[in-house]
Formats: sequence, C-alpha cells, structure tokens
Amino acid sequence: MTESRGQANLPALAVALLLVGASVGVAVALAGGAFATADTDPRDARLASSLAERLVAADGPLAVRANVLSGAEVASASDDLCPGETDCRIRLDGETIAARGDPSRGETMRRIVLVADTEWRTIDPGLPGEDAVTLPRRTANATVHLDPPAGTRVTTVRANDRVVLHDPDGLDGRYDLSLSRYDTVTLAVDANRDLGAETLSVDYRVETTTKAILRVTVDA
Amino acid sequence: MREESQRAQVSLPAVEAAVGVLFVVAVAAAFAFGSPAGGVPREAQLDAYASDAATVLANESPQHGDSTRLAEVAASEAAFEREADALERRVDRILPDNLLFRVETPHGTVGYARPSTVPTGVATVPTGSGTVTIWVWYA
Repeated sequence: MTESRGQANLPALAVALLLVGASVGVAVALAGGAFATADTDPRDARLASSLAERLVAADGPLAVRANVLSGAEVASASDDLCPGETDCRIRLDGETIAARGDPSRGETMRRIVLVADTEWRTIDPGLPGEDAVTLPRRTANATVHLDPPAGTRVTTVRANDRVVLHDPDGLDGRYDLSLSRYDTVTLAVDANRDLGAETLSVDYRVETTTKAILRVTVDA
Repeated sequence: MREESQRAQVSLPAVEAAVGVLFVVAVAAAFAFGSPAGGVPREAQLDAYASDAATVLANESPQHGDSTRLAEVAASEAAFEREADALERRVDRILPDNLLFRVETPHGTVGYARPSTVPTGVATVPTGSGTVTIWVWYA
C-alpha cells in the first residue's frame, strides 16, 4: 500500500522549507532596506519648510507683508539667504534668486507668494474749488508737496476727516503721510484763503502684484 | 483500498508552507508600504498652500466695500452672491494648477466637492462676520 501511494511528504517538506526560507530572506531584506532608508530626523525637510516659512513671514528678509515679497528685494537677493553651510536653492517661478552648492538631492518646500512692484505716481489736482483730492483706492503711502503762494497759510491736511498734518503757522514743503490700506482716502486742505492751482501735489505709491511660487530646496 | 490509494493528497507541509509564506509576506508588506516616506510631508505642504492662499486673500483689497476681500464675501448673503464667482476665479489663479480647493464662508461655499479619501490641507481665517475656511488637495 505504501509503495503504491507515493510518499510525497519528504520532498514536499524540503520545498516548503525552501519557500518559507526564501520568503523570510526577502522580508528581512525589505525590512533592512526600510530601516536603512527611514529618515527619523528629516533635517532637509525641516530646514526647507522653516526657511520657506521665514521668507514668506511678514518680517522676512524679502517680504513687504505676509506672503508678499518685494520685487526690488527679490532682484537684489544675496546667497546669504541660505542658512549656515547647507546647500540650498531658492527659486521664484523657475528663476533662481539665491543658491549655494548643489542641493539637487534635497527636499523642496513650495509656497505661494505675491511679488509686489511699486512705482510712484503724482497727481496734481489743481484744487478746483473744494480743496480736496481723492487718491486712488487702497493707497497706503503718499507724499504731499505743499507750496502755498505768499500770504496763504495752509494750516491742516485731513485724510478722511482725520487730521494728519497741522501747523497753525502754515504748512509748506514736503510731508510723508502714512494712510490706511483698508480705505479709500480723500485728502482735504484747510487754508486761510483760496488756494492756487499750483499749491498741492501728491505723490503716491502704486503697487502691482503678480502671483508666483517660491520653491526652497535644501540639502543639509 | 485501491481507490483510496489513487486519491491525490495535498501534501500537508506544502499547505503549512503556503500559510507561512503568507504571514511572512504580510510582515514584509508592512515594511514596504508602512514606513513613512522621507521628505516634506504631503499634509505639511498642503497646509502651507492653504494658509498661503488664506493669507493672500485675507490681505487683499475688496472688490467693493469692507476691509478685505474675505471680510467682504463673508459679510452678507448678497455680498456672497455677488462676489462668489470672482472669489472662485481669484483662488483658482492664486493656487498652483495641480491643486483643487473649496472655500467655505458663513453664507455659502465656492470650489469643488471635498473628497474624503485624499490628504487635505486646511486654513481658517477669522473675519468680522464669521470664519472662512479654505481646503486644498492635490487634483
């Protein structure tokens, strides 16, 4: 009976042991690989995200406000933006603004920013009658030039009824005003008689923003 | 007796081996897929995108009234109706092309339906008339 039935157990056991042994080997190799590549202290990622965070913060080296970078600062950015001795590259929409070394194996953090370019424009209102001039909306900074004719005293300049300049002896010259970014400002001028057309001119700052992606790559 | 001897018999060690291999493969799979990938975590990147978009919108001038764009859309039903399309276009412009978004205001939402199966980044902005929440996720 035993001869006719074919005893397959011994070779089967050998094959089975071989299979289990092989799969254990593969599993141990996988686990070893996982332990070897696991990064329990992701320095690159941490550095990249904190450097990106610093660059977009309101008091960052390139920033005007939170998430708004100054176009002029970006253009003149130096490679010292990279912290310490790390290899790093800071790119703004594909254009490298600061780099040190070759961080191509490092980690990248992306942030959304606006790049603000400012220019100054002048309005010369001519003061037709009411001695008031409305600036374009959301003007945050303005420089007022007052040049009253002899005998005319300009005592007060108001921005939306708030007194921003006052001198009972007469204002004359150049004054920087800091205005609210959240309001449209009307400047009104008080004087002891009608003002001539040449008395007041206002320089104001115009900001145009463009969207960009800031990419910070760090290889520590 | 003779018929019984003809019957094929699965070798017991082979069955045991199959079960054993299955266990070992399960453990190996945990190592292969379960270990955290290095680099910047996806959630951290998405949260950064969401908070950047929120900061940009929260500092932007409004289309009509109020102090900022988000305060304007959150202000009232009518303002939301008026500004929803413009807000959606603006968020779409601000975010990179590989992201989808949803913006929830006290008076309604704009953007896409939020999936429950993918990692999402979230940011909230308090405004005078309620909280505005922004979700972003990879398309």
